[in-house]
Amino acid sequence: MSYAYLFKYIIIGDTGVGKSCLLLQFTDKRFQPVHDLTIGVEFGARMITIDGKQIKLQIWDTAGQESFRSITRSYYRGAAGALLVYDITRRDTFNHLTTWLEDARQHSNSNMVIMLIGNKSDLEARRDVKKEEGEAFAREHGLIFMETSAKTAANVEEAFINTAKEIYQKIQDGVFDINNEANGIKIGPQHSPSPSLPSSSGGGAQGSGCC
Amino acid sequence: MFSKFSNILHNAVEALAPQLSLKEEFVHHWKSVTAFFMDNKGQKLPIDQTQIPEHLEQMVVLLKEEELNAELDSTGPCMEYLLQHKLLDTLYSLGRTDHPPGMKQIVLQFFTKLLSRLKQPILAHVSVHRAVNRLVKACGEVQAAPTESEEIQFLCTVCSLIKSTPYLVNFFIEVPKLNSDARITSLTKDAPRPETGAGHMTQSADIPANSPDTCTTHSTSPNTANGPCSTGRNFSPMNSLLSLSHSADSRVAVKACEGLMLCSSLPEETAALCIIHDTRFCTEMTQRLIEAYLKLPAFISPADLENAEAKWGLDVITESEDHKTFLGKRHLVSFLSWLDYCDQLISIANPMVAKSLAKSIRELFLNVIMEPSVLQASEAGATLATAYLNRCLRTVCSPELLSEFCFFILGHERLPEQIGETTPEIRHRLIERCNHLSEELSLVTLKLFDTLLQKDDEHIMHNLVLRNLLGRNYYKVTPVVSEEVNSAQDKEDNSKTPNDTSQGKEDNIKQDSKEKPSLNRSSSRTEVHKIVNCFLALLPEQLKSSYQTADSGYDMYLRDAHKQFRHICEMTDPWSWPKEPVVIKRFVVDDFYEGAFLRMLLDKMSHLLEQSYPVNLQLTSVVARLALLPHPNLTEYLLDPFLPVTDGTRTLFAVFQKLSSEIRNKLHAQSDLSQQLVNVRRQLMGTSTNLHRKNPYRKTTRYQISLRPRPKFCQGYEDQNQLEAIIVMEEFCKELSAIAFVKHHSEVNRPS
Repeated sequence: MSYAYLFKYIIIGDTGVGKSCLLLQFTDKRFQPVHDLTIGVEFGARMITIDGKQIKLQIWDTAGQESFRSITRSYYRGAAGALLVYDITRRDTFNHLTTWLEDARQHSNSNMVIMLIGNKSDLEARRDVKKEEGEAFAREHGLIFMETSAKTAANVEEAFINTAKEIYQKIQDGVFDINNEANGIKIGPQHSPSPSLPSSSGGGAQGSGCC
Repeated sequence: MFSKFSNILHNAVEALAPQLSLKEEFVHHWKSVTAFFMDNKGQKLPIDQTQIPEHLEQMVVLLKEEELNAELDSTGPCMEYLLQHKLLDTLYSLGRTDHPPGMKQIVLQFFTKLLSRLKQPILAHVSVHRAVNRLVKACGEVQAAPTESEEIQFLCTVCSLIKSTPYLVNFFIEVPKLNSDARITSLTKDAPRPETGAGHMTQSADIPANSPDTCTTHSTSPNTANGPCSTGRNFSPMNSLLSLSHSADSRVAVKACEGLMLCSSLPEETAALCIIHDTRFCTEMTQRLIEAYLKLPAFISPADLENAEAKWGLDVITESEDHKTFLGKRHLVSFLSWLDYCDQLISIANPMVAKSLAKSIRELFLNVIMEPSVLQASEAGATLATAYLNRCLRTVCSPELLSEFCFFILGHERLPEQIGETTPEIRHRLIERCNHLSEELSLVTLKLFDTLLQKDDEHIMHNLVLRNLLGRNYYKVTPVVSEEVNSAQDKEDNSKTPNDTSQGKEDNIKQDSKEKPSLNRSSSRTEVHKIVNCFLALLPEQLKSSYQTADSGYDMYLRDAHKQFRHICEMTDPWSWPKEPVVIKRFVVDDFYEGAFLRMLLDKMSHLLEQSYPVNLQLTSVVARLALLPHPNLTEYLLDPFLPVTDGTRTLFAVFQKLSSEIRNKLHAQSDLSQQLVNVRRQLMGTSTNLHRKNPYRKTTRYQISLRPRPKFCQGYEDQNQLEAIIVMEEFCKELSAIAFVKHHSEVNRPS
């Protein structure tokens, strides 16, 4: 199927926070209560529409365990977006966010859009991290934030799509150089070598990103 | 049908006998599994029509339940049963026969769940790791086996456990008995293994530790052909992963690569040595790089090559995409991503493994394949190979591999270069080629040096330029009092030595400008303005076209220079370069020679007017990179117009002065030169705006001017190149001024 753009995402965060379940909910619209540890990187894809344009999301779901940490780092490099996930019922997963973020910032390209996700919002009774804390962390570090539930599907679509919207906006603003494939963005086959930028929203002609 | 019935029956039993203990239930499931084999001998019922998967799943669930209820560090009765009755050994054998069909898959899944769901460290038990290791060896045996994805899942689970508890790796390294018969048999899959029974756990952990230096050369197994130090040990996870990394299923292949990363990054020396000497790891990684290299397209546009990006693990490219972009892109992407994989692996691997793999890439790929390609006589072939080498260099970042690339291109030499040196050949030839008749070849070679100068390896800067500057032989020692140094400073006490940097900045500046009247590292504000003015005044005002086209002065380069300089300083900081110009004894020679590289650059600078626009842009880019390097000797040599130099020493500024007078002479001959310059500049700028977004050269476009061939503008003028060269010179002077200013600024602000 043809698409206007392809965005590469990675999902990161401690083990057991629900990364794979988020991906499964987004790509297959189902929830798997018992999910074995993700060993090594997994992969999923789905098409979405933004601004009338077909966008293909390629999503790499990484292993959360410490032993895979140094390998995960090499995946940051080619990604346009990252979902950084913690578990609202486990404070330690929230406490580790700083390390994850440092890792991501250090190894990714500086324009990578990071979405902070507090997952398992259905488990309100066992909540250990307040929503406000997530919001504050996101504000402080310039991330987008959402609480989701991979189980009930609450906000799952939104999390993936809002990240894509942010990336899309950055393309519009000329922040992302779409010709540079190292940014985790590819122009779809139908778009091929036409030089003009998507013209819909202003930014194109000014070219804030040049020189 | 049968399965449904037995399920109901089973549930009924559970309902009727809820008091059944975990162990009883566990044993019941196990007995049901074994019963199948007693009752159904010879029957070829596929596994999913039997109850076996369900029973095995229940066994894992029970073990997990037991673990959750038990005290920490205690082995529950179910686990005890599993260990005592060697259930895993039995399961391994059942899986091995793949009877009933699909059994292997189920067994692999059982092992994977067992290892990943349970928190207790069961892998240390001999009856666990023995069976696990046997199963490991059964992975990757058959190419494209239907069980590939279960195999890789299982292998990575094992590797992940080893990675988090590295000593476990010793259970997976088999050491053969010292007679060669045993060695061969231990490498054969189903042979009786050296360690059997409990109590050998410690032994098997001990043996490898003393083996690193017991190098034997009488290796007989193909597995040991890798190193002279081979001891015939067998590291089974590594071998299985290597097989699976060839899988046609990219998901399996990527995970196998991850597994290889886990194994090669183990801190255990035993494991590292075994990987190096007893597995095909290094040669195979390199071999695949070579295979991918040999498939690279024979024709590729420089822009396509420049723009191609491939990061390992993330880039999947289809054949259809290939046709939509350019032919061979798929091969280029797979080559670059494999190189990137090797580079990433080396950067996280155990230092011994990293070194060994880098060395193997150097010896088998660079020396054997790349060198003859680059040195070939065919211009087109050499251009292509150099372009590929340049692209490789851009990808390589790990210190070990980068270092091998640098040694390959430049050689190891660190002492001053002599005039007429022609070794190492590749370095010599590449420098020579920057002046090649083929413009394409000289461009791509200059680009290679441009890339080299951006890489984080001190040897590059040292080998190319510094080793001939560290003796400071270019410097004329007799102190001359400079003409216009602030007279106030002249009166200052100058008893301090030039190298005394412990003083306050203010003092230092004054003292330095007195001691070495020429503009110095710590020159004052006025002094840097003098340098800037020197460069800016090289071209007469009539020949500066930028004012007419609304470009400003050198300040437009300041931001860029500042950014680049900061970036370069981050890189060079660890190299502890001196802050003031130094004279280092072992680099002192009788007569100053700038070295082949600098000589070539200065020669080319002096031919600016005869060279094409693209060559001049690339040339100035390389010189600017050198000028940005924060080494005081290099800085004064390249950027100080007032530096007193020994006879016969040619500095960049001297070259500029000569050029300038050459241009002035032309001005006399051509009265309308200024107007023509303005026109040419407008034209260059014009093309540049048009191409701004899509131009693939944008990254390398300097001075915001396009590299695209353009229609000849000035009919009357013999060669438009000259006009363009004058514009390049004007811009380059501004750029150098900006660099001088930025460097000076950073010194003044340097915390002392």
